[in-house]
Amino acid sequence: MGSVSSCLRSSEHCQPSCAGGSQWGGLAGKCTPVTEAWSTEKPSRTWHRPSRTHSHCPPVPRPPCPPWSLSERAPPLWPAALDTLLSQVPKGKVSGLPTAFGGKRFQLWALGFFCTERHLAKRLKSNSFYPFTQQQPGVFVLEYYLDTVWKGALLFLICFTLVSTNFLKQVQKQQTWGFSAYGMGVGLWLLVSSLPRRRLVLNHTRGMYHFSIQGRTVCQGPMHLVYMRLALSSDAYGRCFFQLVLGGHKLEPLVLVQMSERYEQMEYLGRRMAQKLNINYFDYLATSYRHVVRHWPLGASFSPGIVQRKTRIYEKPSASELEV
Amino acid sequence: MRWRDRFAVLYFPQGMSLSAVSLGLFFIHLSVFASDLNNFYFTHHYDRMSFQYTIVLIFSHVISICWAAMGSLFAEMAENKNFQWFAMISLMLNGIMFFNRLSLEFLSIQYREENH
Repeated sequence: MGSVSSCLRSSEHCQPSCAGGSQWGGLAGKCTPVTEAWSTEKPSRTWHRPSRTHSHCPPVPRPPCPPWSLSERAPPLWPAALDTLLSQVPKGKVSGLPTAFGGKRFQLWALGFFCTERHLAKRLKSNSFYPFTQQQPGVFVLEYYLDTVWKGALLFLICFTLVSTNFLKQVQKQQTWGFSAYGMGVGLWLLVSSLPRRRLVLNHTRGMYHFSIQGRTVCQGPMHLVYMRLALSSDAYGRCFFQLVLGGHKLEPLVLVQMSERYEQMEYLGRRMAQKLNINYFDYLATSYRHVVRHWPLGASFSPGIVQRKTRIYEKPSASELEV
Repeated sequence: MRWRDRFAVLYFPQGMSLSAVSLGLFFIHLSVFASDLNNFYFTHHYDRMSFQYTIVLIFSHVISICWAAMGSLFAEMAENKNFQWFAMISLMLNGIMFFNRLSLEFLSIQYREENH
């Protein structure tokens, strides 16, 4: 088994995965050997069934895909190497000038093929708070345009050329230019609705996040409603693909890495980004040891909805508890 | 600031624009349907009916129903009573319009077979 981040970090940091077949024991702060977690049998009694059942992936903490550290594709020391690499770089740039945002508004427009975790690691190397920029210590700002700008523009242009060149005007006595007209309308709508610039501000000094579109506030709320999460989709053969998503209450979900099979790397990147930005991180399962909750809902310890169980299992806050 | 207010439709609750567009399409389909009915039953000008646009029209009906359904789903998630009613009415009107269109097409097929 390849070595991963050691278990010697303090409990204040996110819980890393443990070497060998052991499992990080939450607040207990040490690795306890859980051998049955690696098998595909029915899990032990301390595990809960995920609320969203994926028939291909049984409810174990790790998906039943071949161990990445044993495959030739993933270098076994990848998370450790990335750790040393990222720690050598200077911290994220502190920029108060508006001109610094100029070229960075399109940085989330990665095409699907290039949107891998290595691409994200390279971006994180130059800016630790990617995709945010740090205005002041504790204040992170992200300005972006949705990628439907170019998709809508492309659709509009294609349909416009089809209409103007009368290419598909008539097919066997049926007037079919209506399809191109539809395409023009949809493309124009996508373009116009994505033109306003979106702005997401994480303000830790006040404990609030602020999402606005072209100056109009859409949503403003406490920090526990913004999170980084790992999302799972599987194909018919049981292969699991993960997405790293930055989302929140009434926010547009931003996909940072699309369709990666490397769970450990994705989890490492997600945890590191959540640590840098100081927001919550959630695993793809609803109930998991691997959630890192830094901000609880207000009054969480007194709310009857959240019960601290003795086995120290942290659940993802349900939708009703997320109401501000 | 006024020209920005014209973009207020972009800041509607998510899905409201879908229901609104499907309702607009419903009115277009209603006018085409009314004109076809008029030409079929009353004036008997069968060559002025919309036979040349049948494919696009049926496609438009289906797309309108899909958008109305998506808007209705967003309305259910938003838990806003007025929005829910609006989306439900839009969906039902589009559904009714689709079946009206289908019946008229079957009638016109029967007419064109000339089994008088």
